[in-house]
Amino acid sequence: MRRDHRSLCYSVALLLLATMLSACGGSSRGTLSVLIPWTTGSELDNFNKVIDGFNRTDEGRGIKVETIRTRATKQALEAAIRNRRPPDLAIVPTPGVLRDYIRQHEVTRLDGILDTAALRREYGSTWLGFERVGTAGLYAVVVKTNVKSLLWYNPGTFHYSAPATWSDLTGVAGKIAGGRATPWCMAMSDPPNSGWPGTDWIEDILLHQAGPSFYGRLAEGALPWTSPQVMAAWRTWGDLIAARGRVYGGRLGAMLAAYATGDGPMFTQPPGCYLSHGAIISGAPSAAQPKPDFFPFPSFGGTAGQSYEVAADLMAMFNPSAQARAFLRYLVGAKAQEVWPIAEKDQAFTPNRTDLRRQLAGGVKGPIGERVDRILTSGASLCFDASDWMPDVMANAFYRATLEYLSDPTDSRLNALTGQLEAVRKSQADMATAPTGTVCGSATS
Amino acid sequence: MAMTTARAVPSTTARTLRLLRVALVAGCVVTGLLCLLVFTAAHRTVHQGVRQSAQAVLQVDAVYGALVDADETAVAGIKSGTTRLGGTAGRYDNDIAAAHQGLELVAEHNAAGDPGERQIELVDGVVVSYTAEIQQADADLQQGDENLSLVYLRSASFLLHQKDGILDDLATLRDLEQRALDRQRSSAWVSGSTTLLWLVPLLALLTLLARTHGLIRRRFRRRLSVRLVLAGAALVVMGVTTALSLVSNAQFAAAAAGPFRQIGVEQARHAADTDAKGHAELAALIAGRCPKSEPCSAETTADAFLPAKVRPPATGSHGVDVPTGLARFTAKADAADAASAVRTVVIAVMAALASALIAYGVRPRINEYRFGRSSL
Repeated sequence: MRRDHRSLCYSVALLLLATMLSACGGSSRGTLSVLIPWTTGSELDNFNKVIDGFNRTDEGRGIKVETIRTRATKQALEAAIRNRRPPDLAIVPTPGVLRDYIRQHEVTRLDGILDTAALRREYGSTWLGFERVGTAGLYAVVVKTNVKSLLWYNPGTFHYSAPATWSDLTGVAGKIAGGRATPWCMAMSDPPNSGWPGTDWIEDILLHQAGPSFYGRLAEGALPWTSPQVMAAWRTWGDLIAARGRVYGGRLGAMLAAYATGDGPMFTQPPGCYLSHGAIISGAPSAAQPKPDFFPFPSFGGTAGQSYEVAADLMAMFNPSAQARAFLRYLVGAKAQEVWPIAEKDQAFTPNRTDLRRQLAGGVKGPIGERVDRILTSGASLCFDASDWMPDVMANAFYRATLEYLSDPTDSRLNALTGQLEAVRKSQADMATAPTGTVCGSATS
Repeated sequence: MAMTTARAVPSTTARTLRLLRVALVAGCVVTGLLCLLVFTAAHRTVHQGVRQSAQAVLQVDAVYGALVDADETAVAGIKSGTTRLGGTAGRYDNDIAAAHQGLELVAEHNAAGDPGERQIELVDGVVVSYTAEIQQADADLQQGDENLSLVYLRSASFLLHQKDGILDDLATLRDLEQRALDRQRSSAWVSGSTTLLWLVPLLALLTLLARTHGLIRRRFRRRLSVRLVLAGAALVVMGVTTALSLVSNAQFAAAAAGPFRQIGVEQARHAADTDAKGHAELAALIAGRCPKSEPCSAETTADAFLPAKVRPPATGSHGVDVPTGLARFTAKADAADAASAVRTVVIAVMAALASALIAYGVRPRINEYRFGRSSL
C-alpha cells in the first residue's frame, strides 16, 4: 500500500515536471499567416519589425507569424479564397476590392474584436470611416498611410518659389519648358495596374478644382464621369501634358516608364525633369545629392480650404483565429503604429494621434516627414484615393482611361473615354454599397 | 542404510532446442518485419522522388519554358502586326494552355506541402493577369492603337520578368520542389545507413541457424537437415531481395544526378535563348515606336529599362536535348521504381517460409526427447 502511494507521488511529480518543461521550452502558441505586398527591401524589413514587436508582447509571444509575400496580392487572395485556404490576415489591394470580399462574406467584421471607441479616440472619425471602407461595419485597420497631394522637386536644381496656385504652377512649368528643359517627370507603368499614377493626377485636380464634395461623389459612384467638374479635371491634366516637351521622354515615354524609377531623371546632371506628383519620390537620389523637397498641390483659387488625397495600406481579417485577433489588437496600438513611420521618416506615416503628437513633439521625423505629419494633424480635408475607393472594375477602367488619354489628349478622345467610364459606372451602380460622405473628412474630426 | 533412488536428469539438449526454435522463429519474424520496413520505406521514398518531386520540378521547368516562349511569341506577333492573322497566335495560345496544364500537374505532384501549394496559386493568379495584358495589347493593335498595344505588351513582359514576377515565383516554386526532392534523396531510408537495421539481425539469424544446424549434426549425427538448409536459403533470398532497395536507391541517385540535371540545364538554356530573342524584339519594337519628333527618354529604350533577361545556366551544355534527356530519366526512374509489390511479397513469403521450415525442421529432434531420453 505504502509502495503504491509512493509510486503515485513519483508519477504525479514526473508529470508535473514534464508539463513545466514543455511550458518553459518556448512552446508554440500557433501560427498566423499574413499576406503582404512587401517582398524585399526596407518595406519587408519594417513589417518584420512590426512582427518582432508583436512577438515581444504577452499576447504575441510564441505565435509564429508566417508572411506570404507577393506584389500580386489581389491575384493571390483570389486564388487562396477560391481554394478555401485564405490567409488569416491580408493587406487588401484597395477598399474597393475589400468591399467585394465583404459582399462575398469572406472578411470578418472587426467591431466586436477591436475597441471602436478607443479607435475613434486614437484615429478620429475620418480615419475610422476609411477603415469602414464605405460600409456600416469596421473591416480593416491602417498599417501605414501617406499623403498623395504633393509635388516633389530637387532643391539643387529647382530654383523657383513654391507655386501656391495652379496658374503659378503652369507658369513655372512654362518657364522650365521655355528654357529648353522638361518640367514633368511622369511614369505610368506599374504592372498589373499601369495607369494609376494618372488617376492620382485627375483625382487631385478634381479635388482642388471642384472640392471634396464632388471628389467624394465621384469616388462613391454618385457623380457622372461626363459631369462638367470631371471633364474639367481631365482637360486640365490634358493641358499640362499635351504640349510637346512637357513630359520627360514624351507621352509614350511616360506611358512606358516604370513608376518605381520614374523620378530618377530629376537627379541627373543636367536634370531630365524638375517636378513630379505623388506620395513619394521614386528613384531615390544618392546621399551626395540634396534631399528632395515638396510643396502641396496648389489651389485653383476660390475659398475652399486645403485638401489632401491620402492612401493607406489596409489589413483585413479573413480567418478570425485567436492569433489574428491578437495581431490586430497589437497593430492598432501606438507602439505598433510608430514602428514604420520612424523607420521610413519621409515615406510612411500613421494616422494614430498619440504617435503623431509624440513624433511632432520629439522631432523624430525630420523636416519632410514632420511637414507631412502636420498635414495629418491639421484641419485640412483628407480624401481617400478615389480610384482605390471605387469598385475594382471601375478602377481598372479608370487606369486604362488615363493611359488612353495620355496617348491621345484630345477632346474627341476624352468624350469617348468619359462615355465609356460612365457606362461602367452605371453598370456598377447596383453594386455600390458605400454610404455617401465617408470618402472625405477633416483630419481633426 | 540410506537408499538412493536414481532419477532421470532432465535433458538440456531438448530445452536448448526449444529455446533455439523460439529464438529462430522470432528472429525470422523480426528480421522479416525489419526487411519489409526498410524495403517499403526506401521504395516509398524512391517512388515519391521519382513520381512526385522530380515530376513537379520537370513540370515547373516546362511551365517556365512555355511562358518565356509565349512572351517571345506575343512580342514577335505584335511587332509584325500579325498576332491574330499570322501563325503566332496559335503558338501563343498553345503555350498559355501548356502553362496552365503544367501548373495543374505541378499541383498534382507537389511535394513541397503548403508553401508549394500557395506558390502554385500565386503563379496561376498572375499568369491570368499576364494573359489579360497580352489580350489587351492584341485588342489595341487590332484597333490601330500601336502605342497602347506596346504599353500593355511591355507591361505584360514586366509581369513575367520583374523582380518577384512570374518567372521569379516559378524559380521559387522550383526551389521548393527541388528541396523536397533533395530531402528525399538524402533520406536515411535511401542513404544505405538503414542497411544495418536489417543486415545485422539477418547475419545474426543466419549464424544462429548455422549453430543450430551444427548442434543437431553433432548431437544427432545427421549430416544435413534439409529443412534448416532451406530455411537458410529462404533467409538469404529475403536478404538479397531487401538489398535490391539499395540498387533502386542507386538508380534513383543516378537518374537525379544525371539525366534529370541535364534536362534542367537544357531547359534553362533553351528558355534563356528564347528570352534573349524576345528581349531584342521588344527593344526594337520600343525604339521603332518612339516618335522622331519627341523621342522617348534614354531610360525607356535603354537595355536596363527593358524587362530583365532570363539568365542562362552557369553549367555548360551536356549535349543532350530535352526529349532524349527525358527518355533517359524516365527509363532510369522506371527501373528504380520497378517491381516493388512483387519484392514486398517475396520478402514476406521468405520470412514466413523460413519460420515454418525452422519450426518443422527442429521439431523431430525435440520429439526424440518426448519419452525421457536422458541427457548425454
